[in-house]
Amino acid sequence: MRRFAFTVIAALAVLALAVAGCGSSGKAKQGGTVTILDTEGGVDSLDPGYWYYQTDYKELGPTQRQLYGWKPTETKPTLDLATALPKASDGGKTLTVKIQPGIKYSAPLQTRTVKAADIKYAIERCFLPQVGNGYASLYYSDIVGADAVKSGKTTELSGITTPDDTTLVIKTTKPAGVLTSGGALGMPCTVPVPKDYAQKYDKGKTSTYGEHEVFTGPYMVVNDGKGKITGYEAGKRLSLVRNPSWDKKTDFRPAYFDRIEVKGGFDATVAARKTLTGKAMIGGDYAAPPVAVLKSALSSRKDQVSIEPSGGNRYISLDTKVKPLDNVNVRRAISAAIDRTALRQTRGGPTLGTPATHFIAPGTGGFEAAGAEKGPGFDFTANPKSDLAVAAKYLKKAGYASGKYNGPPLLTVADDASPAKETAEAFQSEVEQIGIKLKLREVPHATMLAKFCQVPKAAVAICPNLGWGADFFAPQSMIAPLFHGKNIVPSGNVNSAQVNDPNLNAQIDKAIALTDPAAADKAWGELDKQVTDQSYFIAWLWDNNIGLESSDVNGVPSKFNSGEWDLAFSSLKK
Amino acid sequence: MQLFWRRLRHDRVALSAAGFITLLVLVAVFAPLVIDLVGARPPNKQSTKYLDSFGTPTGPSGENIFGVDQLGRDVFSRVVYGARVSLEVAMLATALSVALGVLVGMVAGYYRGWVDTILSRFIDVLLAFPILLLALGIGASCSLGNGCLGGLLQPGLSVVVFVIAFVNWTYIARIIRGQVLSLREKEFVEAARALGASDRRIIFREILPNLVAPIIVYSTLIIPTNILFEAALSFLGVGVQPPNPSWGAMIANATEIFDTAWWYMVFPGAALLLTVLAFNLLGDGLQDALNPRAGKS
Repeated sequence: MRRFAFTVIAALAVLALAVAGCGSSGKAKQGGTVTILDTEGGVDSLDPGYWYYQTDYKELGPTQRQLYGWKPTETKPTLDLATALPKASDGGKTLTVKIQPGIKYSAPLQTRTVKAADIKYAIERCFLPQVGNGYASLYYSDIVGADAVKSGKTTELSGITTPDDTTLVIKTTKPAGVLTSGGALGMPCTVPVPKDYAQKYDKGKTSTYGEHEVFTGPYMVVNDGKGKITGYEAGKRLSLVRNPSWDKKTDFRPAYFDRIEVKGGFDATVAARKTLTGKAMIGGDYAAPPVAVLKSALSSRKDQVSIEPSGGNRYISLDTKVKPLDNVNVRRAISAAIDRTALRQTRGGPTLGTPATHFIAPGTGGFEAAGAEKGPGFDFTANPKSDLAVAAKYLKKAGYASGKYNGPPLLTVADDASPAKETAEAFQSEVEQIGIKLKLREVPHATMLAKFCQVPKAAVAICPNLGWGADFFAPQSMIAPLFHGKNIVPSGNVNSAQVNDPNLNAQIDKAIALTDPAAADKAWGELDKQVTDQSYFIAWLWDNNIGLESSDVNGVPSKFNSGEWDLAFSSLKK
Repeated sequence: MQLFWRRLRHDRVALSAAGFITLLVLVAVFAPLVIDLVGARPPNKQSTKYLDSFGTPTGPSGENIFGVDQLGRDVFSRVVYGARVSLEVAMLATALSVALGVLVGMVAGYYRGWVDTILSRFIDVLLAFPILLLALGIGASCSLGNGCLGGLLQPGLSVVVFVIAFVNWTYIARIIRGQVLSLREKEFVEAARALGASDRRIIFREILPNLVAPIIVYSTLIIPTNILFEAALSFLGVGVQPPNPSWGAMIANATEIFDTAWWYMVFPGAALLLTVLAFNLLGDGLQDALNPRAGKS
């Protein structure tokens, strides 16, 4: 009986896994066109070397293949171009990856197959300033020769070799967990780029390879077949059609749609309503629809709404170089004073996420080790509401005898658009209760980052509208970029708290070198506890991604891409 | 003066407008008392109690007679305190632009010649700028970080007042210059000059008193323009800084949730409309009363 029960359970589990792995394949219809209505300008660049944001992954991801891909419900990389996970040798400092033979490019290189050298060049060009990649330095810096490439001395990574067309050997200066696990090799920097074809476009101030790109995925951007993209107008439209060079047998993605049409320039409310009431549409480049639309959708069209943890957080950054935020107890007092549930209300309430108690979000390694949902147990993060008594305790410790701050107002730069604007104003009111007055300046989001919050010289004390998401579920991507002192740069600085603690830096370096996933998760969880204790950043929400779809669409959300729809697994209903 | 009062007394519309403005000024001055009397919460007091589980604001009720905004703040209190901002900006900016405009207009009109040419061309140049864009530019650059002009202009009310005064004084200057060109040829000015009066004395003691009527009329007409200007700047995000309430900023914030929270736009919108209308009607009434040649059919 036990045996029978086990067999039935096992069969159900296999079935569930098959369904999960392939999306809603049972109800999926092969073919058809899906339309996406964008609001914010759509994709950032066609160039896979540049992709780093959800919309890029969602709308362009199905046009390419990487060494490793990501099934929608899985948190571990899946084999894509690679035939196995990286084989480590030399104490984890040499990784060998074999790739599938016979994978073809789209026109005009349709007769050519992907070679290991194309992936080597793809990784190398991610270091080129003209490509503008945002993560190569974070994950590929330990490859031998990366320093020489970064400094511009050479463009070739001596640490990557290709003994034959299907073998890629990566040598690193020290073991790197994110490479060994395959996670960082499942990023678009491993989308093959044929050097002899692309190099001419990679010259000049900005690479133009994206305008002449060749594709390996199930779809391609409409082009003239001679190397010129014709199906893309920035912010207006993006047309994807099937890639005739793609062989379904070699890919883990079903790719049901025949065509994917993206239209830009919509008002968020209009786009969201059209998606819900129209046919064959799927939500666009907005993380959540306007609250009014969401509210009505959840009451009358619940099955057209997907709510998925994004794997990211929202946080308030406190610049430790600006007084009085150089005092850890003032920072802790602010953490205690904020009402995380009230801040969440400004974004749409409980549907939008869970109040955060530490930095690493659920679904990412290290979350449990950092205390899971309950958190590390600090009194200044324990209460999701304002705890003014705890805040006063810390302010007294910081030397404010009355338990209230009485210094000058603090420069705070926020986003001027809803809902971030309301979040900043709610925060302003909350810290005023402990005597902290803010000089609150509201500016457009891009200005907030480019001129203030990512520029240490601007000396902005508080940035209340920041967010961060994990790359490939790796806790390293949540901690190392934001808290390692070496990442403080004059512009584009994401270490906006300007944390540069040698002890913390050393611990981060040590954690990066861990190749055992369990040990790495534990180490990053411990580091999360430390940075939460120091209150450099106050994480206040682990947010959800809200996806909308038309009633005739089987949308499949992707865990890897923060809960956004995976277009290579979504389909029309039968 | 008697003629002025007699005319104004018979203009019921202007008197009603004056009554409304007086009430508005009283409400603005005694705002804390007014919201206490009504039992409303302070304008910046937030409360999630008045938001639903999605963070949507609730409408007019016994507790919040004008409803609440996205942060659960009482819209009535914010409209009342918004009147303070509107009137403060309008009065200060009008006073500044009138002072500057009258001074420049009198100097240009009285001295004529190259002084007039330089000042008039300068005014022409300023008038050639698209005013809202100019104001937006100044407002935006002064609203970032620690303000502009070495911190002299701090983001907030002072920037708005400066911007409005800077772009509006030219209209007054033109009108005053025209009046002074005519007044300087009058017998009383000739007489003062013959008696050896200095230019300064003639300008400020002889000519200025004769400009009081047009100054009052145009000031009254500029005030509503300035109120609208402040609202426009706040609407476009370069006006009064949060969390201070401003009718323009409230209307801007309300646009995104108008379909679910009509009250957030309607009440500040109505306050703005009625205030501007009242000032315009009073201005018209004053113009009719002060201008002996004006006749009502």
